[in-house]
Amino acid sequence: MTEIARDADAFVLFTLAESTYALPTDVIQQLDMVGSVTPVPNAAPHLAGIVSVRGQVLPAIDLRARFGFPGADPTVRSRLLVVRVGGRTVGFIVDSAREFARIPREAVHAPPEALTGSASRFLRGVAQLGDRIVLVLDAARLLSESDDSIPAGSDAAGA
Amino acid sequence: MAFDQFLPEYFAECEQHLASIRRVLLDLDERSPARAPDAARMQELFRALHTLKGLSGMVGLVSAERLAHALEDALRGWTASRGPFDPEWIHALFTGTGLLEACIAAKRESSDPPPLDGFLASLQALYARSEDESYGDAREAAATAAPPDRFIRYRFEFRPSTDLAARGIGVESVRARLMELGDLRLAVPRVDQGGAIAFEFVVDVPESSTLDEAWRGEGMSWSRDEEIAAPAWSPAESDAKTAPAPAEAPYLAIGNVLRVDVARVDELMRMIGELVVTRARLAEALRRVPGQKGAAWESLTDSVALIERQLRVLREGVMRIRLVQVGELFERMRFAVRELARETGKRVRFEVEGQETEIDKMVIERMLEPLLHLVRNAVSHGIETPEERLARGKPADGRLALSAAASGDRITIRVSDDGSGIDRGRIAARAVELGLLAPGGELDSAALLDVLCSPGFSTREEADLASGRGVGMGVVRSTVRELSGELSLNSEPGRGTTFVVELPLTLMIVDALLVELAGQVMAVPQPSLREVFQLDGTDTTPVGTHEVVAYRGGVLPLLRLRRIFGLGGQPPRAGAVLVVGSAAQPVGLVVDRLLGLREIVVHPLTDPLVLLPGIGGATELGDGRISLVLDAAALVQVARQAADDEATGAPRTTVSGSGVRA
Repeated sequence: MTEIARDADAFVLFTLAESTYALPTDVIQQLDMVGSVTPVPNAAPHLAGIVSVRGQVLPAIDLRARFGFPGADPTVRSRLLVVRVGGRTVGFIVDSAREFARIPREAVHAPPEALTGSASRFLRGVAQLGDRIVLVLDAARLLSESDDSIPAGSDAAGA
Repeated sequence: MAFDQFLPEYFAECEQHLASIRRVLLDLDERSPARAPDAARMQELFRALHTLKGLSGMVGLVSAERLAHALEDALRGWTASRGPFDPEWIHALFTGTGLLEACIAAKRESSDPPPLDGFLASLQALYARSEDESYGDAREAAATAAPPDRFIRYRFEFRPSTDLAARGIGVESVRARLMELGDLRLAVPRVDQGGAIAFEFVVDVPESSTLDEAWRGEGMSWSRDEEIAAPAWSPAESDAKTAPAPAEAPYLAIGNVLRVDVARVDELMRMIGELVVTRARLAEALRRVPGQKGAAWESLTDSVALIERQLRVLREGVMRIRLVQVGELFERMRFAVRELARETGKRVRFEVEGQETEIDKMVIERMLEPLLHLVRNAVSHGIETPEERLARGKPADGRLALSAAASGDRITIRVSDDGSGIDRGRIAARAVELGLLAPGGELDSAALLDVLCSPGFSTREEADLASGRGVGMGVVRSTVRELSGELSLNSEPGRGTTFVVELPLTLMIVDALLVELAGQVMAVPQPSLREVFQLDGTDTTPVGTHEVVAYRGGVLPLLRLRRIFGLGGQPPRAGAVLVVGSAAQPVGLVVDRLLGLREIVVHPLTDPLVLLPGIGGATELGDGRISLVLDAAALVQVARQAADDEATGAPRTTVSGSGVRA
């Protein structure tokens, strides 16, 4: 490990509508091809459906829809990021994901004020990586905020 | 037939005795033939066979009775002759045990028992041979040994009472008492016409024993049933002295083990499921109460929260009742490995680990065939012949290891061998031939498994005797997936192959009707269905915004699931109606098409994103695709709510928490 890498965190980089995003590797359980997704009626619009990952049934969030981007049909490069945060395990469908990167802590800057897309409220910061701008996401916020649009009264987590 | 009521008890007892026979046989098989088998083991074998004979006789299963009798006789013959306990004997006992198992299985499945005559004749021949070989002095010794005890069968009845319980006399102490007295054959509880509970025991008591008349004052009564032939086993004294039996814990500690019909546990689970829904409704009702302030209010909401936690604990507790140790399943594999090694001329050292790991009873039953297939594959395709192994610088004995380990709410079973590994090149070539792989493509472990599991895939070797009789790899994987598990593979050329099966600890299984709705398959648990009928599209009548259909002299309101679920598209003219709800207020749910009944494993959906009214969970149908499991009761609730809101103009609300099924 190089000297620079010591204060760097590991991220999985993925793309969504031509932009590059990053999620810390420690919340990512695995990266999968997007298999068959079963739609769930009456669910939040950004819920693509449910998927089976290693025998577990997980909700799969269409991150394009979550960020308010136009929808896109899945391609061979589409990936399912299985993320575990705060006791919940959820899949995120993204356009592609095939890179790991270490980003030095000091390279991650607060998101500029001017950035006001619907994705901005999930941002932890912005980093310059070579000639690319990488939007670093806050996984916990992504998930907690994703509760916004579920119907009121779903507090009953039953058993 | 009078004894049919004992059949479930009979099968359970048989399983236990067969397990102990298998254990003794494997133990005998592993010892050197030169050493005399130890007396305690032989005694165990003898007792188990004898008990199986008696039990089979009582339920009228002639084939098993006859077979157990012949095996017992042969064993007695060998004991008298004191001839060598050679491999032929052991083989005969192994074969006989397999047949015995098949007879019992046939009874369970109401099919024909396997043919026995061939085996009985060969057993007879073996028996005759050992008679010839036996030495004069041994015969003499057997003749002068104490005459074997005769047994008398008694039928005991015990009526527990609070008085007796106060004196420390209960069914367990009576049972212990009777086991000391003789061979306990049967123990069944029954309820008499007055509603009082009584226990019936059948015990074979040695003629020389006397019954304690004082027991009559302790709730017990008995009658003599019939005289039965005595088992002639008497352990050789020298054996008993030189090789004292290790103080082994009994396989099943009868005192604190309860045998429960799985259906009763399922019933409990269902009740808990209903409780969960009721609690959710309570929470929802509270949410609508105006005000929501004050100490009384807080105590009320605290209690609802507490009930939720308690329900979860209760659900887990009930699920644990279904757990059994995986050890027995492993022992069956040992049995199969031994037989297969004999057939294929391989030498296999079989190792097990984690036998005490617990898993759902139903998972164990479903996994028997798939695991057998993996084990057979390992012996017939994985492990090389001793010559090949030596040539490759490996020990002549191949190693086949089965292990189980639990972590969290999942368990992992591994089947690994140190054989030749899977020949990727050959499999790839075959896969290209079949069009499963592009020419020049490479196979990683996952792709390799995909190819092995694809329908129609088989290599030349696959057709040999070992694998020809099992299920294919495709079936192995789909069974694992249906159980919400996952199969993976790791194979290294020359070093061996490991199959890893990951399974959930417990499952919720229901019979469900599969239906089609706008191209999607959905499952509706059968217990929630009152009736199902076809709709031809012309027999409905619109009433306001709804539809009704004539039903049992009245009208049945219909709910189109396409509409409730907001699924567009043109519904088929005809459809099917699932009648749900109470008898007083039935409701018909309209779906596009019925696909059939099936037993499914329900995954509860717990993430808030998918906690939706009317969705009870999800199930995997074996092809990797997920189907939704509908919660009919909640759907009716949703529909009523929608109708009410429509009528009053109130905003649309949802029934909370009903998406959860325990």
